[in-house]
Amino acid sequence: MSDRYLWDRGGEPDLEVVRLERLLSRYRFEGERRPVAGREDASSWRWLAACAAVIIFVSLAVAAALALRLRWEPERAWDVLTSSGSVAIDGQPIDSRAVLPPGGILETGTDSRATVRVARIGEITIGESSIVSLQYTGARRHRVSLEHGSLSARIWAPPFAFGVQTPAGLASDLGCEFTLQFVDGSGRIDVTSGWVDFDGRTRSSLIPAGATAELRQDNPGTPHYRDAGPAFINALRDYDESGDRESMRQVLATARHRDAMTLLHILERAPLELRPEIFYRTAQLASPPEGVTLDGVLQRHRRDGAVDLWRRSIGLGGYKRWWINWRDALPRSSREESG
Amino acid sequence: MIGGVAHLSSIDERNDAENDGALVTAARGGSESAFELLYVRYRRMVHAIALARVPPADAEDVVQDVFVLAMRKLGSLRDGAAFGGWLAAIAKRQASGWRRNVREQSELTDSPVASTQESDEEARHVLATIRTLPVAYRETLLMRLVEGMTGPEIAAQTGLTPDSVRVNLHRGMRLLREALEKNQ
Repeated sequence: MSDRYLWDRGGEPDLEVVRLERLLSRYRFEGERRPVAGREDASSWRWLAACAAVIIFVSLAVAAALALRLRWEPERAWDVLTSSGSVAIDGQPIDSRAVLPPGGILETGTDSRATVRVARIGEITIGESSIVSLQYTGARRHRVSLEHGSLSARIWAPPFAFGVQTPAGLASDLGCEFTLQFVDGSGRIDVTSGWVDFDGRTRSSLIPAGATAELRQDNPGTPHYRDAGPAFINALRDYDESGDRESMRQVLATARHRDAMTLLHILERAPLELRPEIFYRTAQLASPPEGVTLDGVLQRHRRDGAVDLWRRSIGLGGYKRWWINWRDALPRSSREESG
Repeated sequence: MIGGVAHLSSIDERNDAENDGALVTAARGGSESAFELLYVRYRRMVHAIALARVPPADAEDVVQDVFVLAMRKLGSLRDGAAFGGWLAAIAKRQASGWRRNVREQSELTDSPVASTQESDEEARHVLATIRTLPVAYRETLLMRLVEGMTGPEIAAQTGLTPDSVRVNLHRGMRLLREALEKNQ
């Protein structure tokens, strides 16, 4: 018998094939349902459910870990983790199980240093010839005072949870790593991760990672990036001391695109008559976002908002997102390994 | 690139690879009409592949899942002209992994159309027999006897050569006749 009919229904019908066709036609696909994009197959649902379960579990674990990290009984002493050389607390040389109580004063001698755990949110390392006191520690706020010497801090906690009082003002951690030095009436702050808010008696600075600021009695200098040119740094120092138009023009003339961060600080503080010049130079280096105008920065009640908007437009608005610096929660060696 | 529904409507249902390529390109660009045409063109092939592996009552669900999956993965298909073979591979994987449920126990108990009890019984018996055949013969026979596709259509949609399809149909039919006679 020819297979022609089986092949293309041509030629003489094969009765057996015709019979089977009729018999099996009841199973023919007649579905009018169209594939719907939102419909997922069972395996996809299982996969999504598994992902959701993992996300929920990780979120709960992170929330629990964060809650534990931030919890601290008021007035509980801080652990001294390591020390070398001559280190004393309240005048007494310390041993391996030393703690720094609230109100306690830690002093280091020459070639000496000590590392102290800041509640559960990080640690500080006190450099040689330094005097640091623990002013307050509690559930949400911790303060130390650097009277003299140097202190490095690595903190991972919500903004303003940790602060260091210095003769130049209060350095508040915004989730970061920074180093403070203050000796004989002057010093500097270097931020290596996140942000520090530095409040002096009459001026404040928002200092990002990679930037530094000189410190003087009562106030911080204007922050600048550490890789700024010497001419810019010298001009900035002159302007911080004199506040005159000539040194300001030197600052503007030697600024790079990246130095817009510094110019925005100057714009906030400068006398009204100097602001137009600063505004236009800053706008040359980093275009202001829509809505930020000279009129806006000249009006006191609009100035802060305008400058903040401008700062964010050049990528410097992350100071409220402290959690992105999660690496500061890792032990120092892990962070260095991870880059 | 296909510009829109009006142009799509001019693409007939011939199963040539060039048309598939154009439809796939349009579907990738978000054209629902293009995907609709691919669905209409290939749904019988996918159903037959499913029917070779899952109970009839589940086969339509498999078809749905296969096309939903294909819609999502269309971007990974490098050669739009190879859509048929690619879709067949997805269908085989989906049908093979289809969940076993209570219907598997009585897999041929439900009949989609009203008919006499004898013919229902016989249809179930024939389908069950086809499903005992080697998979290549099983799929090709189901496309031919259940879905009513011709040999050339089967070749064009599955990506098999016409000779292979002819052999599968011929040998499959011979094995089916022998099996049915043996079981009478």
